[in-house]
Amino acid sequence: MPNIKLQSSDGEIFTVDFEIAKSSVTIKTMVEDLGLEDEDEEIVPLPNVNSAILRKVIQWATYHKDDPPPPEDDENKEKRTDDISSWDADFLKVDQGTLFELILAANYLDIKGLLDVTCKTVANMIKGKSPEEIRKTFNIKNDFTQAEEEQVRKENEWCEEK
Amino acid sequence: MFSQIKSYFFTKTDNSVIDPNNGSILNEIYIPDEVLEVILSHVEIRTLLACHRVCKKWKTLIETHVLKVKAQQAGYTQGMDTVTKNSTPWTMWFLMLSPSSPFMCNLVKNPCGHNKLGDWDILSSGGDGWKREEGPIGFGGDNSHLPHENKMRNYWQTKEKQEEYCFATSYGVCAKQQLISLARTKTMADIIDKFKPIIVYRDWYCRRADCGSRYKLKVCLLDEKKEPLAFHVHATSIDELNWQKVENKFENYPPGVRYVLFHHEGVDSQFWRGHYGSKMTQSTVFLIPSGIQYEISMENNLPLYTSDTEYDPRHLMGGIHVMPLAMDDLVPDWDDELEHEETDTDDEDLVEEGRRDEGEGEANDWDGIPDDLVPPPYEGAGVEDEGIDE
Repeated sequence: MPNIKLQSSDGEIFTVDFEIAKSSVTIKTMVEDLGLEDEDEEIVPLPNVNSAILRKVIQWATYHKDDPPPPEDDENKEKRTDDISSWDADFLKVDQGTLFELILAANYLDIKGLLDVTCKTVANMIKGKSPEEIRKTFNIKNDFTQAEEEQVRKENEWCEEK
Repeated sequence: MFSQIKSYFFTKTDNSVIDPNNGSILNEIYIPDEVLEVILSHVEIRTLLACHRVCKKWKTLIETHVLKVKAQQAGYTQGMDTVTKNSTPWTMWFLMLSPSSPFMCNLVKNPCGHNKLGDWDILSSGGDGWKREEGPIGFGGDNSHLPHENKMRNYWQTKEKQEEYCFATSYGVCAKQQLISLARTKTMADIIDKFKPIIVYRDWYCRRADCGSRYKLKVCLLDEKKEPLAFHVHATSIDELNWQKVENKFENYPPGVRYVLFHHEGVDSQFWRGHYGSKMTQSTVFLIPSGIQYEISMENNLPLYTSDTEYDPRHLMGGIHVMPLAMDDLVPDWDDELEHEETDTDDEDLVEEGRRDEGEGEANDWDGIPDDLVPPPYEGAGVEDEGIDE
């Protein structure tokens, strides 16, 4: 079964090499559960992903199709945020909305590599920022009362001193 | 006055428009908790501290989940049982992960002597006194370098010094100590009292190939007033030529521990001019979270003395300025200690013998040393600490 058809939330149909589509654990499981092995006609609906995002996801998966499988949750390997390849960095030069949509799609489709690299990109966006700057970046409100804020600040103090 | 009114006003305004999903909506896009957790787990620890103060939602996620995940990734939960993992407070995870974490790193300043004798309290400089050596001079073992796996990130040094230094002692007792503050913050003090992280200490000692020597290590846990709460003592007359490791740990110690006093001393046993006494290096004190199994291997390790009767706590009175001790004050009968290894000796006898020995002077003290290392009688050899007892 070389190809599989994926349908985005807005009805567009993408024909994708199954080997590439399999990088999504969700699609892989769906295909196996539905027993689609030899039928090329079946269309896999992806109601949570629109065509613009699905196109990006397929582009990413195609580029990374020969990557070694991601390691099983390795407890000893510390995650680093600076190991984003230059291709990925270029690929992720998108507006914040698209980036978050990609994160949601990667989460829904269960593509660990894409989820990691997109989340790392967000983490890098706020690196070294103050709470107020982070709030501004994501348009989050400060919902602490003054007393609560003082309390959190105190709790954090020990970590900042050296 | 004005600033109070101003902040009151602003707080009021902010609260009136808070969305119940505040913190989950990032620039108009709703991010479910599980995804937000993944994003936050990629944030490096210092920024995560800022994230902790962004809003209530983030604060909760970080405290309940994100830190645990990060600690797991960093390997801090290895060997930790589930109960401990789940009951460990977020502050502990934060402390472990912080770049200034006091966990899993050596808290001893200048552990090998790269800073000469700096950072150490020199308590006694018997004979020709302390000397810092670059590489152990007169070393007769196989490898003058320490086994690599025993090196540990130092809390105080940003760059690891590659040079191998050590401290050497002389023909009179040379003693030095370092006071290590464990609880420089209230949070850390709470963690020590409530969760009692394991306090591990380690030291390396050796002797010259051509001269016998003795070594003693004393590690005390002190309270806020620098009064001792617990202490461990190890002592030996060194036989081996290679670097020897002494290592042990404090667990389930009484509450109130605020300092570790690391004290070691040495002397040559042949009364030779120069620095023929025992050498020390890579003195280490570190904390590991309670719940993690840390086995102390007794192979080639020194026996441990802990009871008051084996070791006279009067020497510790008055806080940190411990009176320099002759080797024999510590373990009243040197030979007893070498033969029995463990603490099975009758405590009262030890004290008795200790007193008697003081009266008898030096005569017995060489019995534990191989014959060929025992020096000819030397006048004045019994005086070890004169002038420093004041």
